[in-house]
Amino acid sequence: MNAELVAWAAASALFSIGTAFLLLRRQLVAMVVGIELMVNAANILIVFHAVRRADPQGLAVALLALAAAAAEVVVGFALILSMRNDENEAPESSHLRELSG
Amino acid sequence: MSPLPAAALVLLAAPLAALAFGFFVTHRVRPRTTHLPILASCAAVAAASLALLGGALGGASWSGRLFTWISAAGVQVHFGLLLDPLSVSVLSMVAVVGFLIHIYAVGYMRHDAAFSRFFLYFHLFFFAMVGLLTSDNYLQLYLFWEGVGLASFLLIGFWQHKPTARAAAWKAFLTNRVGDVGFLLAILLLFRWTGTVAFADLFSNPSLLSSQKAFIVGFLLFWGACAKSAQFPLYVWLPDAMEGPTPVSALMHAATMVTAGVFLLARSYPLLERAPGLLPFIALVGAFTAVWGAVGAFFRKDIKRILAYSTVSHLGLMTLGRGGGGVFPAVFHLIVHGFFKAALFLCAGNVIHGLHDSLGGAPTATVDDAGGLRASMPMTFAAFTLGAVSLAGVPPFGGFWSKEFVLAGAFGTPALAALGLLTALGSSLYIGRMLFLTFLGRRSWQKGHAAHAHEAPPVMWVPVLLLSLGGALAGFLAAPLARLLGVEPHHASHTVTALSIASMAAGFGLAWAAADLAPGGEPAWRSRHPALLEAVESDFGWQPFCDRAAGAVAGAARFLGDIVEGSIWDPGTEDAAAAFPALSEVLGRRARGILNDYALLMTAGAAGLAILVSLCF
Amino acid sequence: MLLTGLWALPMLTAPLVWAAPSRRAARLLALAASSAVLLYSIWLWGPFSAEEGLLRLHESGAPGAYGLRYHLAVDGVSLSLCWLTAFLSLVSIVATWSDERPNAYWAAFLALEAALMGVFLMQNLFWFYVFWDAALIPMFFIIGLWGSGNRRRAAFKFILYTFVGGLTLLLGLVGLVALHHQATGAWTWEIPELTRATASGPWAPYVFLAIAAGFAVKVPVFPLHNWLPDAHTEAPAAGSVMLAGAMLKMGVYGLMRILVPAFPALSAAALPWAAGLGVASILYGALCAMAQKDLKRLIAFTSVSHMGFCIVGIFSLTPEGLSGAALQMINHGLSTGGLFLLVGFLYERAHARGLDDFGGLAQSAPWFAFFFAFVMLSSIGLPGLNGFVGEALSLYGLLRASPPLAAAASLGAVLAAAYGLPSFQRVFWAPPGPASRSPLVRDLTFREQAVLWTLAVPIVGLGLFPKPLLDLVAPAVQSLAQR
Repeated sequence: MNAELVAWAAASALFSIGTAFLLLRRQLVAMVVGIELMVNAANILIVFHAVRRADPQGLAVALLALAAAAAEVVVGFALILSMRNDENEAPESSHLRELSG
Repeated sequence: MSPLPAAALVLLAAPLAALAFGFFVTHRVRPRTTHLPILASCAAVAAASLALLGGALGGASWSGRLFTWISAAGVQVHFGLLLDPLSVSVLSMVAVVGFLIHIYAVGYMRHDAAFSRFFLYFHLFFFAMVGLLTSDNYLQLYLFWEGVGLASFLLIGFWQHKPTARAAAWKAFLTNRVGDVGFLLAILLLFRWTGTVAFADLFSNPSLLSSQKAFIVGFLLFWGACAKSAQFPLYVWLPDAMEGPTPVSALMHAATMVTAGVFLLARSYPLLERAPGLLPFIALVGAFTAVWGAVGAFFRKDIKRILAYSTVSHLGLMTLGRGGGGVFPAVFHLIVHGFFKAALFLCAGNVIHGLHDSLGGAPTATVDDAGGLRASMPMTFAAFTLGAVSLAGVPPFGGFWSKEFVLAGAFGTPALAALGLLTALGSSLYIGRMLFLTFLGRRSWQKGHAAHAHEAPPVMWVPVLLLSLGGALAGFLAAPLARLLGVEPHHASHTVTALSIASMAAGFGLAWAAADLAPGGEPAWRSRHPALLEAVESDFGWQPFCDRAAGAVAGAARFLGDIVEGSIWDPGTEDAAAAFPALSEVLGRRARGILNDYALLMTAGAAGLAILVSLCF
Repeated sequence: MLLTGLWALPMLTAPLVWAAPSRRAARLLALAASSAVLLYSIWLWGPFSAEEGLLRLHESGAPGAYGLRYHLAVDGVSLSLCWLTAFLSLVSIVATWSDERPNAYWAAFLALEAALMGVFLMQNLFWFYVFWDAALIPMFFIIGLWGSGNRRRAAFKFILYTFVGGLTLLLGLVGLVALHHQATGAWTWEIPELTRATASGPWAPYVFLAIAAGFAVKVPVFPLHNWLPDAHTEAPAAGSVMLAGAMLKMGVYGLMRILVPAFPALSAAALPWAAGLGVASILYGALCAMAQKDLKRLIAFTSVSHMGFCIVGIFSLTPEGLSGAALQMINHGLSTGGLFLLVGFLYERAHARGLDDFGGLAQSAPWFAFFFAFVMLSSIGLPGLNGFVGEALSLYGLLRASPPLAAAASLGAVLAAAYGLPSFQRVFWAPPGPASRSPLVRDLTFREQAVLWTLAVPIVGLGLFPKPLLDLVAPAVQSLAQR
């Protein structure tokens, strides 16, 4: 069992779980968690290939992605928290219906 | 060729300085004195050109480069002056006549509110004309050629409040542009085929152009000359140009500017000569225009329009001379005509000025308004008579000699000879009619008007008398001019002389018969043929046709500008843009607003894209 | 670091202007910045002429991944366009000095100047395109926020039209990079490299078309001109000056800098079509101008006509025609800029722009009449003023390439007289209309006259002494024509 297979398997699993969270869960916090899982799946592959090719650019990109993901989570949770203050229950995606055509 | 003398620089520097001083200083500070620097500049130019003429008679000629104008790869144009016998002789006439008319204008425009502006425009023309005559290449000549066109536009439209003046100014500029397009194409073709437009390079090496190319270039140059020098079919602007003040009509639309085309043809003679069949064609157009103009002049009543058509006719004669007999007859007639036609126009100006009160301020007069003016305006009468006999070609006055040379050249071809003689007859016919109706006969202007005709002040009749004397005595210029141009003039045979004198005399006789000197009412023959009069009034339909052509272009413009732009392009682009909101409306109805749906769509899209990319590679 | 200043100075000053404590301070700061840019750009002539070679004053950062690199350089054509941009920016700011505009207005002009400079300076396609689209943003706000009457519609039409054009261009530029990769195996966005090896292959004609269409929208070439009349008409006076004077030049510059050198063979093959469209623009623009009743719309259509001369000059692929096109860009900027300024002054006084609203202004406002006639004559190509030289050279280039088309294009001169002079007559000579009786319509103020005199100097100067400018663009033009 070589390292590449492990990396791909882990990434695929993480990505699938993340996608499922995003598509199936209605709780907004869970959806954000799903997105984070997908980002991490991509990061695992980036880091793996960067190490294998000994290319520091790849590590830099992974760091950049981590930073961006962290920033995104901060903004996302802040928004969700502000919704929670209004309604006092776990915010769900069905509460956000302004885009309904 | 010797380097440029100081006098040559005066030719351009003096008018420029006067214009700048007039525009920035006197026009703002003391507008009534704008004429002073300008008259000084005219005097300087006249003195300089006469000094140059003296030198030229001694066999000198000058040329020199001032600076490089355009330089881009194959197009190299230098700004320079060329003072050869041709330019110096025409320049002297322009300077002297121009100086006298500037003086006259001081009197004529004295009471105009825009006195200062008039002199600035007028001198702008003078400057451009001097520049035109002294240019040493075609493109520089074109610059000044457009410059005189601009001055013409400004001066024809000088009385801006008149709709007719505005229309005439525009018509003049537009018609001239139609001609100028040909001129410009000729210049560009010269660049393409020879790589130069300098006269010296072009004419010293005639083999630069094949005869076929010379024909194309020559024809386009002639097309340009047709507009500026009012040849058929582009003469239509000249009669209307009489809307300008009379000194303008005299200087620009009779004596100098309109002869620029003839000058251009004279300049291009070595080139035209190489084009087979072009010179006879030019002569034919000239002869036809000469007769056409004479017919127009005979039937008109407005005294300035009579003279305008007469100018068309005589420009035709010059062109005929140019095409038929070489440079000399054309240039000689150009110079003689400059004197007597300027005098005639200024006489017309005096008549308008004298009748001012009875005309009620109208800027022009008809022959019906005048009549019997010889007693009240003796000096003007004398000057007009001198000019008229000169124009009609009564021996030994100036016009007689120049017309002889033109006819001598034309007599090789029967058709040209017949048209030439017809013009000789027509000239004395219309000018005789005008002379008789205006100055002889009864005073129609007293009837119903309390006002009295009066002679013009000396500042207005002295220049006129000098000009008409110049025209009358211009016969003496033939020999020196021929020497200057280095040609042996082709004298007319006795038959030609006899025929032309006979035509002239017949013309005067007919004029006496046609001019019904009884005051009031139309002569019987005029009222009997209303259709003929109408036809002549519209130049046999040619003027209305040109108007319709211009109207068709304007109609096309309205079609494109209003209908195509406004009803097709604008709605078209806006409808296309509006399709996007409409599409989003349709798609929007599908959206339920559940975040997970959007996430699903996005994921599906990304997956689809990934599959597509992996299929491609 | 010489060239960076040209775009960085206005770009960095723009936020300061926005944040300035008062409107007056904002104006003053904008004035100072644009004057500094103009003086600096003129000073650059010294270092420029001290160097050898076609592209000079190279300035580049480290080569980045995928051939992305910060790289600036100028040749004669781009340097002269930088002068034009700097000059017109200063003129626009001075000319609308007395308008009570918010800080953002002045900041937008500086941002626009910076973006235009970037387009003319960048030698890397990526950066070129960034600045290309960045220029749309300030202009969108200038039209949409501070325009007249129908400004929102005009602004959206402008941004949609030119943005779609920009996307087409982006597609084409990426295609060009891909073609270059296919041919050489190297990824590069460097314009000098992309244009060194000529692109070919089955996809080349499509890439050529996409780039040509993208630039043609900006020029604009008939039939892609529809955004222009509305945008020019509704923009504030200074906005029209920048739009017509400097922004349209982006398209022509792009054709000269990228399209023609990258596809010399295709450009030569496209001559009948491209020059035909150029001639169509000349005639169509002039005819439409004849029919207009609104002064600004009229001038807008004359722009279509004048830019047609640039197109025929470029696609003639002769040194004369290309020189003419380079000169015509500057000339059009000066004379059309001047006309828009004059109409702006008139609108400021009377709040009217219709030809029939005015009349008789020659009596009440003689300086107005003088300058209008002067600039209009330069615009309709009176020899001795600047417009003529560029048009004649472009026409000569076209004559060398295709005489029948040249004959057709020369009719533009007749039509120019047919729209130029009547508009002058209607406004200044005809009987006074409703708007010219207003007591507000007075002659030019000292400041306005000063602005117009500074325009008059290059108008006469380039008319009689175009040689220095022609010499400046000659090397660039020669190398282009030889390809």
